[in-house]
Amino acid sequence: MRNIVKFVLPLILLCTLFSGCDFSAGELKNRLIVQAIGIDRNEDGGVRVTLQTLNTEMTGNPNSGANPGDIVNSMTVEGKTIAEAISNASETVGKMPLLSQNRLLVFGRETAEQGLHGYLDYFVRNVQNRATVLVAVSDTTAEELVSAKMGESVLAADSIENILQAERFNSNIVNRELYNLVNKLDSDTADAVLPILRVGGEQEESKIQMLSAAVFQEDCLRYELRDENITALLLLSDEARSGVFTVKNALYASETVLRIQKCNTKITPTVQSGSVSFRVAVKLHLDIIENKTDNPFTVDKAFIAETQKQAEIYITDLLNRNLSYCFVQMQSDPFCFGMRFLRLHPRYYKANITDWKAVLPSVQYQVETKAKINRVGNGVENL
Amino acid sequence: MQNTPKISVWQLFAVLLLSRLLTLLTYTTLGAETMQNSDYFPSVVFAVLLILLFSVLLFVQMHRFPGQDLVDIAYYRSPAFSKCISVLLAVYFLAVALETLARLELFVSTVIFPNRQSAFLILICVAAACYAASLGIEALGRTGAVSLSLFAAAFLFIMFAMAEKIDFLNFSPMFYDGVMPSLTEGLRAATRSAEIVMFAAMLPRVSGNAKKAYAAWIAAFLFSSLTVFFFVFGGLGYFALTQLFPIHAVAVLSEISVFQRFDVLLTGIWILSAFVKISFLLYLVSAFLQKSFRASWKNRYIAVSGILISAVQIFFAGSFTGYFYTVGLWTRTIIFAVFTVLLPAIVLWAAKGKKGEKDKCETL
Repeated sequence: MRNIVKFVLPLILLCTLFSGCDFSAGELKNRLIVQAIGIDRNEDGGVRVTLQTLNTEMTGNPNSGANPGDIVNSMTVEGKTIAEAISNASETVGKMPLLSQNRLLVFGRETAEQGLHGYLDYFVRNVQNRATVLVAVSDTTAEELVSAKMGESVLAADSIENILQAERFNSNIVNRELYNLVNKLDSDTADAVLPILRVGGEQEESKIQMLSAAVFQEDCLRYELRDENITALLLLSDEARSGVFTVKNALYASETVLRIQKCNTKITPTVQSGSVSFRVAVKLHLDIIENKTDNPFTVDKAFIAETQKQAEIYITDLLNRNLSYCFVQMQSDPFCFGMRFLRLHPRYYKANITDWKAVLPSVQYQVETKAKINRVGNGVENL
Repeated sequence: MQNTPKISVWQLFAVLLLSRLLTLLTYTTLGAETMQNSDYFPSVVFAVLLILLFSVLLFVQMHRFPGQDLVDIAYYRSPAFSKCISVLLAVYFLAVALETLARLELFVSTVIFPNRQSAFLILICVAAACYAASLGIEALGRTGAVSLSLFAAAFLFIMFAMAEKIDFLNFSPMFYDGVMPSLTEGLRAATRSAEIVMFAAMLPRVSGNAKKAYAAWIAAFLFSSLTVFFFVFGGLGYFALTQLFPIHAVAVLSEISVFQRFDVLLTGIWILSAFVKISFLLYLVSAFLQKSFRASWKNRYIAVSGILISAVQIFFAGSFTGYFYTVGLWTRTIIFAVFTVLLPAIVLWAAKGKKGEKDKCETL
């Protein structure tokens, strides 16, 4: 008898506890599997939430012969709060929303300009939501971006995620995850940055591209950085991992395209004669990937030395311009220099600084760039 | 005195470390004062110093009454006194078991199954713990050692996966608001270390030099706490403090290549650790009641304790969980000091001289 119990009891426990089934929650095809969420502020103070969801009819039964439609669907719901709006979604489709698969959170431009704080709590509090979800701003409304169709079998949220993750090899792209945004919005010494995405192309097959980087002050979108200024942002934040830029070489009448192979930025905050100062040392390892010239010449040591020098001048100038623009004109610190200063000189900060933004115009900085060309590619002579 | 089954010092170390790591994993900012994240590092050092301070009488006990717990020592004074001490300690261990269960329930009901009742899981967990406790200390010692290995492996894996996400900018300056926040947090962490009382209770059941287990435990606690806080705050920064369970949040963040969401791994070892700790505490409750009351009722003591903590947790979950998380620091310190300082001091003082008399009688 005892042996039977020993055998049967584990079987019963195994069946009831380890089956992984939760019948009350319904089958996966009956869940609203959210891939992207768009948030737009309504004029009445409420919120308009656009959900991009997986078409579970198609993913669940692709060979049924019926026309199940696109791989993703989108729907827009309204409510006083995000939770209420998402809850309203189930009233429309009769499925329980599943947020754990969400990849993207998008805010409309107008919403971002008026402030994000009121819309973040739901995503921080909800245990289903990932802290690593990517956050972006739509150039127009979040609804337009989230409901953009990129083709019948294209997962739009997946494509947008790929675009943002291209930061690994394109220094004109910036991406930010939810936890990072919350950290920066909470900080008194740094401004949050989010990518701005734009929808273009045909209505049935939209193209999404990164337009610029939005810089926030407090929690409101204040200004944007574009193209090479995003490279500067990444370099000054020690986040640049790759990227391409072009320098002019007057001696050789050429334009040389350089790829950042490796980059390291060292920012040293100091207090010099009673004022805040930063020394920015950038070390670049570069590859020549193209030479554009009308007069062919042999790639020699002198050319490489001159190109290195031009690269150093270009990067130093780019960084100086951006520091001046952000610190002096915008009184903004998207590079987290304030966080570095606070960490290294907490006593000075506590005694002398009450508002980091007010100090920014008087901050001294010195940028030094060291560039080294490691590879010149396969060609020894320019064509 | 009957022949007590014993475990090795390293098995004791494993069980106690697992128990303290569970407290660390379930750390929450709920009810705690907000402070700069880097202040958590000195707070761990302060916690260790305070634990050593709270352990002074434990060292005296180990030196003067080797291989004896407080109930044995109180027996030198009188059997009735010994019974009182055993009941007090049993109640304390029952309360710690209840707190462990409350933490598990809060975790399960907010993170794992936010939309459903956690009563079933609690019942299963307590039933399993009762069964494990009934198997005795040797079985628990072996389970603790295996569980600690699993725990360490899983945790190292999560930390390794987190390494890439560490950003030193996330660390705030240390002691920016003075030393008091760190000291307060250190005291809070020290008063959560019921392992000192558990260690004192285990002295007659350990073979080998128990001081080694204590030294290894405190060193491992220091090292593991510093490591955990480094990865939590280096990875998540301020965001960690917005989460109910920051250490669980960091597991969500860790990923290697296509392997993501290691929180499932953490959840598994979390429940395993809670199971070992509750089993161990139920065993201690039963062991102390057995010493002073009917010894043959071992399984009944375990069953009644299990039913009691399940019932309290199921029927009064909200109020008890809330109490454990919001109880004031000074109340917690007083309760902790009663069992680590006051009670041992009374017992040691009461037994002073009596042991000598008894030894003399036995020699004659």
